[in-house]
Amino acid sequence: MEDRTLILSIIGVYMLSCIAVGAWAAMRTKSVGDFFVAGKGIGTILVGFAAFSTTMSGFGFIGGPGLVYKFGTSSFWICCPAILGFAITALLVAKRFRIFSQLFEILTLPDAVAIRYQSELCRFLTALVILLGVIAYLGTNILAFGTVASTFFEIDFTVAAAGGMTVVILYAVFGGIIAGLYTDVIQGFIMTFASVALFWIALSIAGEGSFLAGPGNITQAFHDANMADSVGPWGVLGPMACLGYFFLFAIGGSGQPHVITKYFMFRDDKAVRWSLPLTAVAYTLCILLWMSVGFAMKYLVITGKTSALPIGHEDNAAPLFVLNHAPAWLAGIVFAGLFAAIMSTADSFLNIGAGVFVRDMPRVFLRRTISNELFWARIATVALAISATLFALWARQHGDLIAILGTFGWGLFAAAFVPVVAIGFNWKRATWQGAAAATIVGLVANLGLDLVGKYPKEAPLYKIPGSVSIGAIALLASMVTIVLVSFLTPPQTPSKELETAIDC
Amino acid sequence: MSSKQDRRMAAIGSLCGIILLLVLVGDRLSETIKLLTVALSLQSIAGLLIHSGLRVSKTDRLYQVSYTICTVISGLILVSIILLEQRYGASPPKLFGMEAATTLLVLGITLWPFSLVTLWVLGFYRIVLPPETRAKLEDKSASL
Repeated sequence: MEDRTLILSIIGVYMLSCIAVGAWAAMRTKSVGDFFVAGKGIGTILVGFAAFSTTMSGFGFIGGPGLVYKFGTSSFWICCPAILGFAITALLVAKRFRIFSQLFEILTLPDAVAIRYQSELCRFLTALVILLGVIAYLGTNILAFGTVASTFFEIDFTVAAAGGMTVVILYAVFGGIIAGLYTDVIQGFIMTFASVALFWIALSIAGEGSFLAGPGNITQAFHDANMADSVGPWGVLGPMACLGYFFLFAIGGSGQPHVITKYFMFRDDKAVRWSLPLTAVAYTLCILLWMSVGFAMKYLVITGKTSALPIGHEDNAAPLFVLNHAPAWLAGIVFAGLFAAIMSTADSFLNIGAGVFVRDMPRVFLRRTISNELFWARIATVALAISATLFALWARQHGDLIAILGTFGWGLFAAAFVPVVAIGFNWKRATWQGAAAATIVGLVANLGLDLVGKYPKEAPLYKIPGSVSIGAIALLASMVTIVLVSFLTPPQTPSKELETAIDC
Repeated sequence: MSSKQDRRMAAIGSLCGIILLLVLVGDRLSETIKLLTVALSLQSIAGLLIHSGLRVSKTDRLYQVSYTICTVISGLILVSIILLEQRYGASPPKLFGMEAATTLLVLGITLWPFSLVTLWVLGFYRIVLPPETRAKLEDKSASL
């Protein structure tokens, strides 16, 4: 069998397995509760793998190596603190959401926020931010899919992106979150295997056949090429930018709705306990790809063994490395892993976005629920997928790196939701005014700083000193806001159930 | 500010405010002092958040102390990275083929948090969901 045929066959098997899982899950999805929270009956492996594979998105698998290629170790400050982030998220959110979902009827994040703060305004603001973030993040993943598929299959970018989304729609629409969770497990295994295998190959190539010599050769080559900054602890972007990433990705994890909504679905305490180590170990194995491939690719460029990637196309580092340096059977698995990373995140976003349309917006604007929520959830999933694909194709014309858009999505969620969820669900004194103000500050700071940092194009109005990321500044501002406004406004009187849920 | 949790949150808000000021208008301070202050503030925020999520029974201080030690060591890793880089610049000693500070980043920042993961698993029913919490929860859940 030719290499290309073998690779295509492996990818085809993976895609078909996703659709098959979707068909199986469709038979188990009988209510809107099944569609959004899997009937609150899932265990350790499903939650553990789902939390990690939705975090390790196209941003991580494609954008990560691209960032390493461009900025060196600066991007390690995005992926490395995430383990600390998982631990903080488990302590602040996993336990609390398990308790809330046991005591209240919660299917979406805005549901939980509305119950916690006894405020429909907070529900609306949460839903609004989710919609904006979902479009940005889905766009990121669609762009990543298009980049990989068009590079490898040599087909039009639009066709590639639309094809990928069609498969996601096929399983996410009918199987809901159940399909998403089970495909996450498949995708998680593929991603982990692909990552470890590629890590080995990348360092072996850089080490001229010796895996252990890889890091030393890379460090030496960068020093010889007067690019020592890239392999120093702060990379090209410098220390303050890196500490900003550290904060954003260690603390910001507890505000990512596609991850934390998984914690509504725990079957029992045992699943809460064991899902964290599973998530942390799987994620750690997965970032091996992030950390190694970008450097190996740059090493090959510096030593003249391959040609440099054109500026603005750094995201091609991972796909091109796989095509040129992995055996065909492994390339097939790695490509399936790349697609898996993208699709596992996309299906989660489609699900939480559909929840906003079907469950939260009617409650905010119509003051009631809609009938046949399951049917409308499926329609909303399709509509959201199409809108996000169109947005992604539009965003591509503006030349942004995939990872930059991904950072924006992460930053937006972190700034808007860390104060409201991680702080507010553990602090009885947090008020609805504090939560609403923090969400607004998070949203406005993210969008505002992004705009003034880009426009006018000749001389932008303001640049954050030290290249600190917008998301980190917005997160700091929103955390100050919730604390300050909560102390300045009268305390709320929670119901007995609510008091139990917060104090437990 | 009547409770311990109130004081924790006030401290978190203050530390966030300090970092904001240092980043946005702190350019007159020396780089090393600024970096050390920001790094220690970040780590303190993480530590305070972690402690705000624990519900420690008064008889079970061991786990609380362990969480504190783990958080302090995380802070020391950050400080070591800053000081190593300031000390050696672009000609540092190598460790596992990488610059020493980069090795601390890759192995320290990534792997040390597993100490928190281990504490979570070991102390889950004593510090995260103690028996009295579970009993209270079961009662409420049954009465709904």
